[in-house]
Amino acid sequence: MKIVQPASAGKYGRDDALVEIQPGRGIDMEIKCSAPSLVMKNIEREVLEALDEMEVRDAKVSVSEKGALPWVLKSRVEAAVMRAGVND
Amino acid sequence: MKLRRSRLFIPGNNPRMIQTAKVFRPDMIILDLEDAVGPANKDEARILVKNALRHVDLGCGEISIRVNPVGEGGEEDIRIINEKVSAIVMPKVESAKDVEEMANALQGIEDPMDRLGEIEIIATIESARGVLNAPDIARAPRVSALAFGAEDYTKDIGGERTKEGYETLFARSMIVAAAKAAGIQALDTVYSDVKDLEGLYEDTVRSRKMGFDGRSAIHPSQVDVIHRAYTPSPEEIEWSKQVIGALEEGKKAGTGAVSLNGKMIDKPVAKRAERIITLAKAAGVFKEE
Repeated sequence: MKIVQPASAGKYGRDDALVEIQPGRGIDMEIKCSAPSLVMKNIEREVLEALDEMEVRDAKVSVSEKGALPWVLKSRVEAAVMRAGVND
Repeated sequence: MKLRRSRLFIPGNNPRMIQTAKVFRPDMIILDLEDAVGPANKDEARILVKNALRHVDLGCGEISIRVNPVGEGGEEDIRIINEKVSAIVMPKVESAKDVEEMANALQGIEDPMDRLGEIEIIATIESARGVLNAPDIARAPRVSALAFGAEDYTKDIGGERTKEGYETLFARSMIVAAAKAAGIQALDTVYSDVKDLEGLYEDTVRSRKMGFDGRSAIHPSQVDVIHRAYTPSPEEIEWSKQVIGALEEGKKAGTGAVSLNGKMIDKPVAKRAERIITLAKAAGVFKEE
């Protein structure tokens, strides 16, 4: 998928995540959460996996989360990409 | 017999509620993609529910999805169904044709899963037209239950919701009669005052006496109360055992007419006793002697 416009999905609420995405070069990720760095690493991995599954190679991604589980992160990334992207 | 005393609505775009739904042990979880999700969020809710069905333990009750009407996103909603989903809840059904359209759309998604014809439809009737067409809707393909939506129905007839429920009496009776004539379940509307659990219990006991098999819950605190009202009491179970025992003894003795405590046991009484036992077994409250 090619990211062609800014979009977001989810919300910054308990057990949820707000994922914002916009066009970029390579994957540039920013994570906002109060969790320890080990959790941050896992979040980053989950988001990268979700982007990879959708074949997103270039995007600027921001994730603000409050305890979202992997399936929620994946869902929010998927929804944001669907809103922001077009098939290559 | 599927136990459908309680059907707990869970907003399809709320991960927190989806993850905790099973804790309340409803007979059915309804992941709601219709009224609980605003038009701008339908797509992300659909993705969230799709992934919940794949990755979240939703408990051991039935799992269903309330889809949007055909032509308003319903066709996209059903694409996320997997093997865990036993039924879809169709809102605002007004005719058998509405159901037939959805049943046809379901065929296309069942085929690859090797589940042809398996996904049931719970048709929700929420308008005067729907009530008058209830007998046809009940006989439409895949319909395993008729459900009632009182809020929209009352608006449709220009009425007003009251605690006594006079404004919905005809509709509820019609839905029960149509469902039972077709051999399917009748499921009652929500009790919208979530703080009034005593009122919920009284109303649910009335609902059960009218012939409903279950009702919707819009708050987890309602589930236990609904179960209590729809589950046979120990006295009812004891009475049913005595009725069935008396019938069996009468059969052995070759007696035509059988009575219990001086009262004749006719066919409807026997049928009621059998239904109570079936329900008690399904609810796990029947103890063999």
